[in-house]
Amino acid sequence: MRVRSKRYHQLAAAAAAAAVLPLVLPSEYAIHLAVVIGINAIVALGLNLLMGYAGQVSLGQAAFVGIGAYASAILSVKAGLSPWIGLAAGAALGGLTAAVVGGPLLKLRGHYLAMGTLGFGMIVQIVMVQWEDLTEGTIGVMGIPPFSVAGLALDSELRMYYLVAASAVLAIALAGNVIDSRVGRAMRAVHGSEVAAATSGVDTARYKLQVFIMSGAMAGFAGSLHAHHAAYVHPDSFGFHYSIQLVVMVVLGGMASIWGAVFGAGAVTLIGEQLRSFQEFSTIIFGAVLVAVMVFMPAGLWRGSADLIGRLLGSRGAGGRRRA
Amino acid sequence: MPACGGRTLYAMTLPTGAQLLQYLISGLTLGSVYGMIALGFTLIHNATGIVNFAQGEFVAFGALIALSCSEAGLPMPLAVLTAMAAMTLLGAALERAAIRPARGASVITLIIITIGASILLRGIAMWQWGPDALPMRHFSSEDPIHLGPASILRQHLWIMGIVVATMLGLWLLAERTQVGKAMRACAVDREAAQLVGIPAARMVMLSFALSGMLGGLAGSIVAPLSMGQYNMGIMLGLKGFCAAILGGIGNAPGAVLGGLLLGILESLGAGLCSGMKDAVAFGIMLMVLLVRPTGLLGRRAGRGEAVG
Amino acid sequence: MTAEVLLRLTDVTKRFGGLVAVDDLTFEVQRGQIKAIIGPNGAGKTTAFNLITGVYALDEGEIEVAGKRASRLPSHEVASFGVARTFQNVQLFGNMSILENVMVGAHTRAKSGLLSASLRLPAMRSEEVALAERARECLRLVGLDKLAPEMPALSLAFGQQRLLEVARALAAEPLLVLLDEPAAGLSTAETARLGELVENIRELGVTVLLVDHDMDLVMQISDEVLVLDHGVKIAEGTPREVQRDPRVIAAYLGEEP
Ligand SMILES: Nc1ncnc2c1ncn2[C@@H]1O[C@H](COP(=O)(O)OP(=O)(O)O)[C@@H](O)[C@H]1O
Ligand SMILES: [Mg+2]
Repeated sequence: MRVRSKRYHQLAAAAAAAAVLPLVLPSEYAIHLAVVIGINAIVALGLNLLMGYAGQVSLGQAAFVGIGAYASAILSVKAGLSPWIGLAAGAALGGLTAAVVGGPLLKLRGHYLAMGTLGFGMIVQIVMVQWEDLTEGTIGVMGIPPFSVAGLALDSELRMYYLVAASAVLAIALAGNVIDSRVGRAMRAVHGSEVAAATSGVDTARYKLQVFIMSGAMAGFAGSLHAHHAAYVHPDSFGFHYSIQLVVMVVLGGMASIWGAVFGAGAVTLIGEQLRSFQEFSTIIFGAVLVAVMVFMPAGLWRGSADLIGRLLGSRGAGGRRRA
Repeated sequence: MPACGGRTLYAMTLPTGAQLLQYLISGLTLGSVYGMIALGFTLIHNATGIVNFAQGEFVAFGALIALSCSEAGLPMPLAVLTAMAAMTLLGAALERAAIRPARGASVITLIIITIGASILLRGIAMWQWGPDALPMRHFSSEDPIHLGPASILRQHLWIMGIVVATMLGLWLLAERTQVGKAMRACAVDREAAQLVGIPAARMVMLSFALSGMLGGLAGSIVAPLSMGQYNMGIMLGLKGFCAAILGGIGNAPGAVLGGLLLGILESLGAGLCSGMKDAVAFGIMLMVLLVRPTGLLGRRAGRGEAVG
Repeated sequence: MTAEVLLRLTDVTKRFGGLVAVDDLTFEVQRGQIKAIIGPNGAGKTTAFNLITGVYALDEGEIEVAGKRASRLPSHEVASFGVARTFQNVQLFGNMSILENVMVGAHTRAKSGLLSASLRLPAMRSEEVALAERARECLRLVGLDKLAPEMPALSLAFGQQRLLEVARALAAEPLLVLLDEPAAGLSTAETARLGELVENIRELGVTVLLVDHDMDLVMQISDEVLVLDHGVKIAEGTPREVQRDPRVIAAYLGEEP
């Protein structure tokens, strides 16, 4: 089908761009940022499957990232296992946690689901602080070893970059494959009309849970990447604030858009980085922009701008204005 | 860092009667404040179906404005009134600028709008008041009153008194005035209310204004105990949430009851194990959502039957 | 043709608070029939559909589909018995294309899961091709095959949206399809074509249970008509019998302009 081959072409182009990107990035720090963006993009992709495609809000997604990060940190630092085992464990534990809490949580809808996931996220963060024997509490786990491939440690930004970039491209391919399948259609149907989905034979609870597990596993996977990149995990990194940032990535980039999630991850990460340099004004601007975008371009910056340009040019907008 | 996880778990001891009384007092105080914040959520939720994530920022601004006014030499009642007036305006402005233009948007969009507003307000607060916690004078003498082995601060009494008075005022507003009846009619059925000539749009704005006022008041009465800080609204707002859910979203008496209960449970929980204070609130919220999403007094469900 | 019961409702009751929306309703639909339920607005027709398809839980009674108990089962299990439906207030998947909407209808006709989807395993790919082919066939059947299949579903005109719902229902290869006011909002010409479509559907071996206010349509195509009023069955029989029934004339036909 035409759409599908277009998707593969885009993916190949993105992979090629990602491969040469470090050559044009001006500094080690820029590569570092690219790594962070890649990690966030993986989480945002998973969250977009859940929120944008299946229509289920999560304000606690940071918890899964934290679970993956801590799993990997603890296994490699305290148990001395290979970071690769940590990576697998991080993804598995993220997915497993989602499977356990998803059953009851996903019975909730709309605002109630938002609050339920929020509460779940807060509790996971409290556990990270309180379970000192395992997590070292507010000190955090330090000295997390880097990944290594055939004796070569991925201890530079550049080497880590290639691992993260490859993972992100894989995640994009995976998400695209899922969306464009029977399972993906079922998930989207749940969003479009839960009643019609159910009467069409879609076990809505099952697909909600599946997409939740998938988003949890992707977040756990990304959390593990984060742990071995930063060499350090701390409960503060995985709180409500980060959960909100993740949602903002998805929404700003554009719900139900794979490239939107990647774009959103980039935008929010870079804006967040800017915030450090001149604090309060950027927060104010960020908040104001967020409100303005949501009020005037609920389809996100990506599609919203395309629409706007289209309207300015007097033609019809490129992507239809979709409300989630 | 006091903690109960892991190593320190076994240091936990049972509280004495006097300690219990003390916990009860601080729990009731804190709970009154939670109840007031929860009431703010309830007002907006009933009028619009929106959960306002900027509610906590109303509280933070109330605290910061009140403490600045009091610092500038304004008498305490005037300082509190100024904070309330400012937050009333801010609430109305938020509705006009960000909520009304987005009518009909999805739940996620609305959530992000109010979250964006909260980020914006927090930024403004940090720019104006800086990042540090600022003290505020108590409303009257800071000497505690001794009740047998326990003691109570005059500010505790102020808080509980003001919260009770406010509840009474709101109840009168809702039951006895034309405006209150109109607001309740809108909450039940917006279209029907509009058909009988109630200006529903104005009622929505009013709910934001009132909710802002409640936040401003809650902030100014709690600031002498908690101090005022640009980011204090995050936790207070979320706790107000928990209280609203515990009581049953959309139910005003439930909000107050939920607040009081949450305050007491949290205070007892913290007494047993201080690190787990926040876990109590969120644990209760989760449990309520999962077991009885309608809360203690609510009737509307979070799950609901889908209509064909 | 031997009469075989495909759908049987026995003493089915549904209450909303104090209101009895469906009151002790008993009826059967034979395999291969076109049967209609008529009645004034609020009579409980849509509620009956919601009970049959498991959207609402019934308070009393039993529902059987092809001899299997369907009451107290979730909607997707009822669907797997071969029951499909359309909605009075159109319920399309607005976030999907025309073709994808119909492919969801064929959900129960395939089985590939998350893993094979993620990896695009060959079995899953051939299944996708078959599903898309099936969906196109259904679009052809309802006459929407001239449209670009990747158009967003909600970009269709209202009448076409109704037809798309029919196509989605047929994609499941159901034994029984429930059509809730399919002619509402359609032009006379469109309604005439709909009548032919419903008869074509029956020719394919699909049993039809239909709700509509268009009496010409109902009386022309139905083998049997059931009349509901305030949740109660007040008449049942051939179109001619029902039209002559004084209770029906009093309760329903008399009121209609
Ligand atoms: N979800 C519901 N909650 C409460 N009342 C309902 C619900 N669905 C239908 N009703 C009521 O049940 C009665 C029958 O409605 P319905 O089945 O939609 O009628 P019809 O389809 O025959 O026009 C009406 O009085 C309607 O108001
Ligand atoms: Mg109906």
